Amino acid sequence: MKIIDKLMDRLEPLFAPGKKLSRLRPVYQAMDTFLRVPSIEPGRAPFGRDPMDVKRYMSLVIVALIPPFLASLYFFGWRILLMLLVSYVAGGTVEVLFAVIRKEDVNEGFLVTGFIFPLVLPPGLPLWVVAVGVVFGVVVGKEIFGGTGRNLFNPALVGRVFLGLGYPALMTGTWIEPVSGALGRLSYGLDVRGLDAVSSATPLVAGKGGDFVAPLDLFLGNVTGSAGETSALAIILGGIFLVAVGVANWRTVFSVLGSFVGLNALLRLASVEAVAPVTFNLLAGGLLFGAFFMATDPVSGPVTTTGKWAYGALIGMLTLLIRSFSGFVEGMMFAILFGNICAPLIDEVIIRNRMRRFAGEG
Amino acid sequence: MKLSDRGYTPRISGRPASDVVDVAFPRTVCIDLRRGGSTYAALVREGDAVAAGDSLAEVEGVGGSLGLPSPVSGKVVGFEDENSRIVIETDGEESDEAVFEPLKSQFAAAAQVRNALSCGGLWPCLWSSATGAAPAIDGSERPKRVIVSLVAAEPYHARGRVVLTRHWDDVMSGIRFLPRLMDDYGRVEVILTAVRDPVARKIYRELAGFAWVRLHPVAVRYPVGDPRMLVRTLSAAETPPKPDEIIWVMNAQSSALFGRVLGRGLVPRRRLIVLAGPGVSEPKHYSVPIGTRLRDFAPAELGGADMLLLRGGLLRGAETDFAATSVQIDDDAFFALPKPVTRQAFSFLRPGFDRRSIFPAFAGSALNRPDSHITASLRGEERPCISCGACERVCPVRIIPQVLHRYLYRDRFEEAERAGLNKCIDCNLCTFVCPSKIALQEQFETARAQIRAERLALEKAVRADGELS
Repeated sequence: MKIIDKLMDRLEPLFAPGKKLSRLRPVYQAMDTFLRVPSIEPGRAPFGRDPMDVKRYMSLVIVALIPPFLASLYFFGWRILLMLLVSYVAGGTVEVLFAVIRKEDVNEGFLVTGFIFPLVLPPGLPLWVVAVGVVFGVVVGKEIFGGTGRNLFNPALVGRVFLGLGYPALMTGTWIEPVSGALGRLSYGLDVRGLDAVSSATPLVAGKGGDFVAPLDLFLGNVTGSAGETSALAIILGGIFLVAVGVANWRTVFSVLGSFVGLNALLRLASVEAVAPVTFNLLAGGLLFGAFFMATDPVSGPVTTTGKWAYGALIGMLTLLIRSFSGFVEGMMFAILFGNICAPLIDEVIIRNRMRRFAGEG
Repeated sequence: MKLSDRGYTPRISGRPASDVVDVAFPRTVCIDLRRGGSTYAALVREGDAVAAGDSLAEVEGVGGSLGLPSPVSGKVVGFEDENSRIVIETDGEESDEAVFEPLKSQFAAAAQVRNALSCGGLWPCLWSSATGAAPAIDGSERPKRVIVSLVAAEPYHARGRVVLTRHWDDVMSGIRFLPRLMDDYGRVEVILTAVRDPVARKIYRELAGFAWVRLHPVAVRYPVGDPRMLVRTLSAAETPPKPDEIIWVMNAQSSALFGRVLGRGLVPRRRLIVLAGPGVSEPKHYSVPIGTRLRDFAPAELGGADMLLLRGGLLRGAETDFAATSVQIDDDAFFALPKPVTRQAFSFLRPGFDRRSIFPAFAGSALNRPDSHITASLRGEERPCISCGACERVCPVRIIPQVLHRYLYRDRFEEAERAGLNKCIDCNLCTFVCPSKIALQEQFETARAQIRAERLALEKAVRADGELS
């Protein structure tokens, strides 16, 4: 660890104000604080603080994303790793650029966006499209609002919607057939170009036609679909970790899934034909991934605890309605973005309610 | 719907043991003249001989002047720190001779009790809901209720139970004097931790006979011992106080001193304090003669160059200088926090066996270990709010700090006020838990001061307008 100290202390003068690299100071700072925790003294009470910081917070999300990521590697091959690298490099460049222009610190939030983004894309998507999507998502979804913490929408979803609208053929025609067995698709080697991408229908598309994939395949993830969204097992493993460490709010997860299942069961009982069976709907598509990893994004969701229930219920029910009664096969993405729009409104209602109660308390 | 109170007690290493160390009577004592935001004016000069109980200084309080008695007999040998500290050389041994007239709790007149408390320097130990500080001493305030809190105001303050064990008779005697100061049919509300506790049972046996005493068990979670929180606690009682009712609050140690001064006529002599925190190898209670310098009895480790010493607890304590600090009549605790010496590499990726957070995200939580890694640092860097909601979870008065933060970020003071800015009791919990390391409490305090200043300016302008026309 002394080596790190020595190295960083030697580099420091290069980025000092007035020196050649002073404009890149945010980069040095990001590196420095990544390698070793800064020792900033608070200067006023409370002089000691809780050990949690944003770096830890964001890295916990990444740890939770590892099971779905490994599942996607297994089913869809090394390509996913390349997509991840492209996403990090392209998105990271934008993030650093904005930090340098704004003369602010580089924020850790991007590490999560950059990791989630390739996992919600079709695994056969050309790499340049991944880059375009992540750049759009970071710039439009986050930076123009003022950066991490001030964004209205989930940046990864903004990027995905953009790709869905801008490159519809690529976004619906580059699914890869999953490979199971000892090493899955990993044994195929570095299949970079995704040449064997097939446009076979995802379970949800097949479900529209009344052809439901076996629940076990859906549960394990042995189906076509977005890279990280197919394996319910891996998502639940990572998701439970995220809830257990207190980063994802269980209320949001519970209300998204609860309202979805509840409404689904109700409509099935009423024999509405357009609605698929509960187990199928729950395991197929991006519902679980969205519920655990996207709807729980604290920044773009409501801030109040009560609001989280309403927010989750809205997303869950809307997803089912879009899936069942619209031209789209998947509704999770739109439902979450719609929830993002409503989040400030939900908060407003709850805060006003509380203000009224405060006024009553005197 | 009643909003339930929250709060949070961080688990930090260095919890004090219950055993008490008796500190020897010192050769010199120091009495601070600056206390609680006001400065006492000295009544003695260098070279003066003083007897225990003589008034050393006084200050103008609400409704009259308040005294500050000398805890010892001796000679004033000088002043320190820009005349803000009197140094007295003691003569001889610690002796307990009555210097005030002992009173009888059944017969004493209110004026007598008030006078004795002022002479004993104890009046500022009372907190009044009418002033937000010590009550008016001229008798214009007659509270309907007095809350006696036996719970610590902060984690690692002197524990009520330790005070009770040592000063049982004085605490009870102090409580018996309270009705003299109260309105007719007033009530003493005793706040304690659990009714099943043996100490609580003893209190119950001793006080339950009096119709004017009520016992309230509370969950010990910081900041339950804060006066304003204690007043809130009562609103859940069978007969909640009216909104404009005057309530006084005091703690176990004040009650013990009340009993000592009023019932026995003795001068306040010792104070029970705690030396605790991760920087103390053997944290425990100390019974310290008032005015004793820390350096005369405290382990030298507290004064190390790599140590930050806080007067009070971790959450509200202010930085203090080990060499210059002496124990005063209102001290409860000193907290030693190591300064960050090294910058740990890849800190955020470590399992964290020695760390404990409100987020169960460190190995220390799973093993139920206290946080022993804490230092006097942010332990991270300032970031924009990520709306994690930790501040809302801990806020004891149920405001949503992150929402206030957002309003104040855009200078929307009115909204912030309506969202409960003035309900904040400065417990510092939101600032403590914030992973983005935002100084929330500081922001709120600044905003409140700004609003007050604007109001004053407005009032002045209106008055000037009226005079002109």
